[in-house]
Amino acid sequence: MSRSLANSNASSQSAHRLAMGLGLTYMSLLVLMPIAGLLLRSIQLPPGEYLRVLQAPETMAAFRLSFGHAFLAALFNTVTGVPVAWVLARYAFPGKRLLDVWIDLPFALPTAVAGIALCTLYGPHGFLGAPLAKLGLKVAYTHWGVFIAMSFVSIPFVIRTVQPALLNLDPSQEEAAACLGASRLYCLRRVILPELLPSILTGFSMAFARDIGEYGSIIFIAGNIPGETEILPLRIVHALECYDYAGATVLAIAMMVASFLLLLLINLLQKRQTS
Amino acid sequence: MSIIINNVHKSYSGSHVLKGINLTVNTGELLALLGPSGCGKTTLLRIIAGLEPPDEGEVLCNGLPAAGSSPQESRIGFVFQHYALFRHMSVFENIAFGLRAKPRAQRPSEAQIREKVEKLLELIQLEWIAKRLPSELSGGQRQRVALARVLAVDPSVLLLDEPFGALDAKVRQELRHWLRERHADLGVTTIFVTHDQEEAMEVSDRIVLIHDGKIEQTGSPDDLYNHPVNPFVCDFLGLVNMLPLHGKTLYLRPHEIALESAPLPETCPATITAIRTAGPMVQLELRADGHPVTVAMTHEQFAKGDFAIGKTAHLRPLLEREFG
Repeated sequence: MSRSLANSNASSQSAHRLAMGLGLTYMSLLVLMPIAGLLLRSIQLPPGEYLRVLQAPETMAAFRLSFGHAFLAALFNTVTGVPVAWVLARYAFPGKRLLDVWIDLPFALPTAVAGIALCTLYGPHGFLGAPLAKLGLKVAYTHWGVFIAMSFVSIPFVIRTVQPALLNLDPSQEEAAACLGASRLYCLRRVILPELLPSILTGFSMAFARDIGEYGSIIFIAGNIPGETEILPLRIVHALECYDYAGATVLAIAMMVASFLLLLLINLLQKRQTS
Repeated sequence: MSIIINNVHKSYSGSHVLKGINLTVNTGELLALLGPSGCGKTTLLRIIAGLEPPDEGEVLCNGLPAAGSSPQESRIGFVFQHYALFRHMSVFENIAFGLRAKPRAQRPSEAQIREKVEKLLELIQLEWIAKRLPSELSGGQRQRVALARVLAVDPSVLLLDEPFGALDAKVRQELRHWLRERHADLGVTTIFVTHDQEEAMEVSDRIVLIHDGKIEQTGSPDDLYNHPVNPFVCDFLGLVNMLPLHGKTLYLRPHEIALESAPLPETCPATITAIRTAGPMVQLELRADGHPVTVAMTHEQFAKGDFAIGKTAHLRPLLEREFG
């Protein structure tokens, strides 16, 4: 008896090792190696290169635009996405299934198609662009275009992370709060939102990460004026087109480090929330 | 607070869960809603709480209609089967929830809240776990915290859904006792749901036995056990023998049958198939004319008689209970 138990222990241990080994191998091949290659390339560059590229006013502007607007778009998606997830999780209405599938489309749509569609919609003669232009708000070919494109591509991340969490909420918790005299608003603030916070943060950080990296849809609608509406990924592409490999590497490294630090920060925040 | 339930009906997607419930709950009473799973007892409790509206009929609290008023207005405390404690709040904050949720004008000061919560923690004998999260408590502790959380808002009615269902036997026993004592101290009208007839008899003043959406019988534990109105009640409240005797069918509990060594006019013969000691009683299994019969007697009675497996004994009913 004890012998067979020991045997099964040993075999489960080797299974653990195998799973761990496979996981780490895939992780290395798919994620770590390309990034390590980039890092390797970056340490071969003279420090002067870094200063030359990063101190350029266009680079600084692109940094502000990419990270600033990614943050705003993710925030906007969180504020709007949570109510959408709520409606999908809580209410029954005709066409709900269709809407549920519709939300995933930004995941699947080629980003160029999204960019062109948004450009048509928000362009000076577009369905939304024309009335907005009358009100004095130009969307296409301005930084608002960047914001719109980012919001479009990343909204599913928030909805798809918050929706299952909402479905998993125990309805008796809300009933208990109501029985104890809490108003709906109080219940939302003190019972429901704290339960959802970890998934809201996850949705936010995924949307944020996606927005930083987004390229295809934005370049169609942003106008791409260096120093004004040019996003960081486009600057990298421009550098490559000019055979400025060093410049492209520097930008890529800087972007990666900044993204990593920001995502790490969100992750830590989340840890603190859940523990 | 007294509660009057008038002809309440409820259906869920076609199935008729409650079929005309009429019931009066007196002020200060400790009442058990007893019945098999799926009989509608929890639904009835939720309707009394105002968590669900009845399809038909009404619930009157102190003579006033409870319909339309949400639980927060009618001061009803509901303890959920799985406690529904707020997972991200400490025990202290869970208990303080109802006080903090009050509108600003009625909300007690922080010091008053602290004092009240500490008093309740003392009542549930868990002062030392105030800072813990619900996930760090045992089942029995969670149950008591859930009760304290409800008591914090001074409910005039306490509703408990299967309060001991998820606990192990020993904790159950302790909590039953504890609940009885708290009820005696506080005198709050209390209704609890259970499927365990022993629990209902041990804890409550009065039992309402529900079966298939209808009330079968209402009465004291003694009434239901000794004077059941139909075979279902008789069978649900405890072991019963259906004994066909002289053209009648008698419903007799194991201790309501005596064993005689010689036949008498009112007896019928049976063969002993098993003998076992069940705590304070000795239980004998017999077969009479193909029917299994269980008889219970004291150890003293057992020692006096001459009983052994395979021997014949004569069953003598000690009372005549039959249902037309």
